[in-house]
Amino acid sequence: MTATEAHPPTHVLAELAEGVLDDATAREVQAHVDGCATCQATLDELAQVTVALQALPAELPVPEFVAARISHALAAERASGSGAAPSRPGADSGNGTVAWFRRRLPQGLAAAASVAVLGLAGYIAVDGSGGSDAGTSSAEDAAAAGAPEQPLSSSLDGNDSTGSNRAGTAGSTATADDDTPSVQDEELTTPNHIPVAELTAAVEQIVQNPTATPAFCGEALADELGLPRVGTANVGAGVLVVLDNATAYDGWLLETCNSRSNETLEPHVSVPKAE
Amino acid sequence: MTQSAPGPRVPDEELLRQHVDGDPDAFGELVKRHQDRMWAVALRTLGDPHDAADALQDALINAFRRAGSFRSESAVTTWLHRIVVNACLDRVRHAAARPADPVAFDGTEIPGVAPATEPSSDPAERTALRVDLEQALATLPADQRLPLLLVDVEGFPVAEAAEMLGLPVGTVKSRCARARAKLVPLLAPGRLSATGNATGNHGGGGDVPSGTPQGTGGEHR
Repeated sequence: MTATEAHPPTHVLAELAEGVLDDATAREVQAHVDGCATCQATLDELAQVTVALQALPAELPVPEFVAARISHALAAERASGSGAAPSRPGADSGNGTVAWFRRRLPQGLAAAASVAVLGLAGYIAVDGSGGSDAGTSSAEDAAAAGAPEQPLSSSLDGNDSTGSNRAGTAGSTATADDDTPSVQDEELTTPNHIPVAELTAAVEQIVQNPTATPAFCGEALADELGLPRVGTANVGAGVLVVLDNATAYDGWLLETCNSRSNETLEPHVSVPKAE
Repeated sequence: MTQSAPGPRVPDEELLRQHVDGDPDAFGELVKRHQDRMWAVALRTLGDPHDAADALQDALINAFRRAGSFRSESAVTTWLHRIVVNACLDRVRHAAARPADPVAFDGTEIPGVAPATEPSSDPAERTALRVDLEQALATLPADQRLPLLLVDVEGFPVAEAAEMLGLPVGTVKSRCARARAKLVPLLAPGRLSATGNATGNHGGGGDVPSGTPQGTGGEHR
């Protein structure tokens, strides 16, 4: 018995049990414990802590509001096209800048360039030139997912050879970064479509003079995204619906007044609020 | 481990590959499989549902984008949880200026709880025990709470938890040990009456002299 000796503190006993004490210390502590009922009891209690923790549910149901938020955020991410593109740093030769840029993307997106052009659900960015280890034809997958006929290409890819710019999303965020020259200029024009500048101007007009014609126009989208509708206007062949996104006005060019985010004619534009 | 076995369903790795290849539904399925566990980690790490929701959302967006960088030497769960853990730690750091733990837990509110080895058949009592445990967990510093959560609550092997935390295995074990030591006086029945409060780190009983000349067993890195 070494009862007159000071007991090792509980955390040392815990470390003994966990096997992380150095050999000399472990021997010393073990020698004490072997003759000390109090420390044996403490070791028992330490084991019971683990037993109690193991009895806690390892899974907790995600609350409804969280699940909704996350699925909305993921839908927006999917729409932006940046995530569906293979991003295998180093998988493709000559892709270093792109890989670097992709790693920077989250910050770039969060920083929201002055006009953030986000792509659409159907316009999934695809690395057509991938040659990745998965080796599947992702362009076909994207087409099946509702993308337009022309081959899509991630605007993130420096070696984009298709000239298609429908996925032009990351390009806008590229403007926030300096050394991604190959993707910068592409996105400011959306060939064969209404230019971003025109859409942006239309959004500003609606913000200044909010009307919705007909009255229900754009409500389906507003409901879907959970954002208040500011107003609508006919632009080109579609209907521009402006939603109030707290810090910005989002302009969605939809096929019809009842369209949702999967029936858009252009990547939606985001106009930061003036104040 | 409560994660349901893959069984006949598509393995996680395959879902992730499908996502990278452009399948619009694959990532959602992956999230559905793992979200409750990731939520448990985020909520218990951050303590606040809104912070936890922010962290989980950040993490999942990050995972969505970085799926292509997944390396198959680790399990998808490990990879996902590593991202969740990092998102949580980011928030812990940013929230450092704020009072981190809404529960001011000084031990005085703990009733003597039944030892977990003899689970009470009374559901109310069990709930009480669980609440006490959750509160006790919340008192731990984040750098100890997370390892303990991952290992003891989530049941991940220490090596996997170490990978999620980006820490050496020895460090994870050491932090778990210290965290358990802190929980002993909070959870052991009769301990409170013996020590008066729960702030001491000596758990040997009321007659324990504090401090010892024995090895202090610092963290092993």
